[in-house]
Amino acid sequence: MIPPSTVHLSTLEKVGGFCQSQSLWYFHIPGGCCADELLNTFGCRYDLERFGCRPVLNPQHADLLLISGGISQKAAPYLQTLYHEMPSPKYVVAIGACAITGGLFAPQQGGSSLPGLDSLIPIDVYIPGCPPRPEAIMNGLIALQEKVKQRAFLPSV
Amino acid sequence: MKWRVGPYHSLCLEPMRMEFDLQGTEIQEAKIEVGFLHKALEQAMTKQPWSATLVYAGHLDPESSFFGEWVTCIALEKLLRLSLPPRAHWIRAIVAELSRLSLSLHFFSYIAKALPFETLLHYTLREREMILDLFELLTGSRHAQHFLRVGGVASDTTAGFLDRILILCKEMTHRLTEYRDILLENPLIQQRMQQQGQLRKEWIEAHGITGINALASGAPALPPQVTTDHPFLQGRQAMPCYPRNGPQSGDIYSRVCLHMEALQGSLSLLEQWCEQIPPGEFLQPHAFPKTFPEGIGQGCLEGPRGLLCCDITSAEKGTHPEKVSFSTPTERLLPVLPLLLKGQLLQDIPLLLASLHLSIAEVDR
Repeated sequence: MIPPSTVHLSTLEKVGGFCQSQSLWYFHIPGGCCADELLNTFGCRYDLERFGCRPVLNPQHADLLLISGGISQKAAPYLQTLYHEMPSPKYVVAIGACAITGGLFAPQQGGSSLPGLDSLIPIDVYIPGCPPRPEAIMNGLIALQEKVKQRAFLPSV
Repeated sequence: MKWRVGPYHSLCLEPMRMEFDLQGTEIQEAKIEVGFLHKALEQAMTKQPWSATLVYAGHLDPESSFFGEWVTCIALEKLLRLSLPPRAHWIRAIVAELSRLSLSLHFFSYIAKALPFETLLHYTLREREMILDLFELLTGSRHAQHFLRVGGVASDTTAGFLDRILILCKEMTHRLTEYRDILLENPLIQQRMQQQGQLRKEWIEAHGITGINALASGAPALPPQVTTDHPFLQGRQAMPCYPRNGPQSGDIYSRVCLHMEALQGSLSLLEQWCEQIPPGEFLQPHAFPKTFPEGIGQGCLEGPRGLLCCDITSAEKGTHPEKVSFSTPTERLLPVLPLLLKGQLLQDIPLLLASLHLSIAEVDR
């Protein structure tokens, strides 16, 4: 039941969500072999730019933070600062086992990476693999696009 | 003015932190801080059983996981006093040369990103996909292949693998001409690279820098007292394919030229080896024991970035390595960076760092 005092701009919201999902500019945190696989995904065979994903050099211009590879204890505060520098609405994708759980280098295995990034910043999409194939990375980004499309970005009037 | 950048900044290319003392855009003094990719690789290896050693070693240098595995494999085989079947040596050497090719192309993609020069980036990534396809054909995965076993390799060459290498070599030889025309013959790019970022010969001798960076400054790629003990690596420096024709002034341009030479050399070597590979066994059966004998195994090889060494200590009837330590080419290059950056302009730094072919993952490990 729609409350009588509100107006819902349903079509406009859909258009807005679609536009936002088609221009996910990313800032990349490199580390490990997943960074290499992301570079291949950007290359001409897989052509990431057809999803509207292109790299930017400043986190303040980015909609999306792509984190590949493990994050050490030393890097964690810098990553948090970087995340807070990004303007809202912002999304985070963790690529590879090291970013998701620490993987081979989780503390329980004897390594010193963080046991999962979600204790540090909120993560929208997890792409598993060691390293994930370019198809998996593209699939993760399509999943994120679906998520962005469903998000109501206009406040109710 | 003091300026701090990093660890995640486009100026650095890889996660590291730099502190500059600036006069305008000229760097008066620079400090480098690393450790942002620290994974405790060596320590993690000592907490895992022997069978996990090679899997961890593959993550030493993520861009060329094969060489981390290979040097560890050589160390373990020395510890066990194993000798390999001849075909295993050949398969290893061919995959290693493919890894070298892949890493050389990775170098050019970094140069292209630093310039920035997107045409070259897409060219190199196109060629690299062909090599990654070959890895997939042989091992089932594009990166982190885990193809080596103690006593040989995991599988024989798959059907069509050697033929496809020959096709790749033919195509790449043709495309190298395009690379030369587009990158090395371009006067604007030449101006950006020549007389820039000169690595002096005395720094190379003082810090033990190896590989193409040393070669580009007129020093030998490996110090003469180092012997790499592998039938295919021993004579590598004497081979006709070994890069030595480029300019040796130590600037960025000479390093890029020598990387191009190395690319050409790897191609001609692959062509020869694919036709000469002997038939036979690819793995010595039951070579991997549950417990290893007491002692130290040392492996040493010329990786794509320079001299790569590995020491593994085993205790009596130990179920896991007692101590593992690597010595990597990039960690010997890092102390020189502050000296090299002094007097440079800020806008030249990405190209300079890309031309040195640093791998911070290898240093932090």
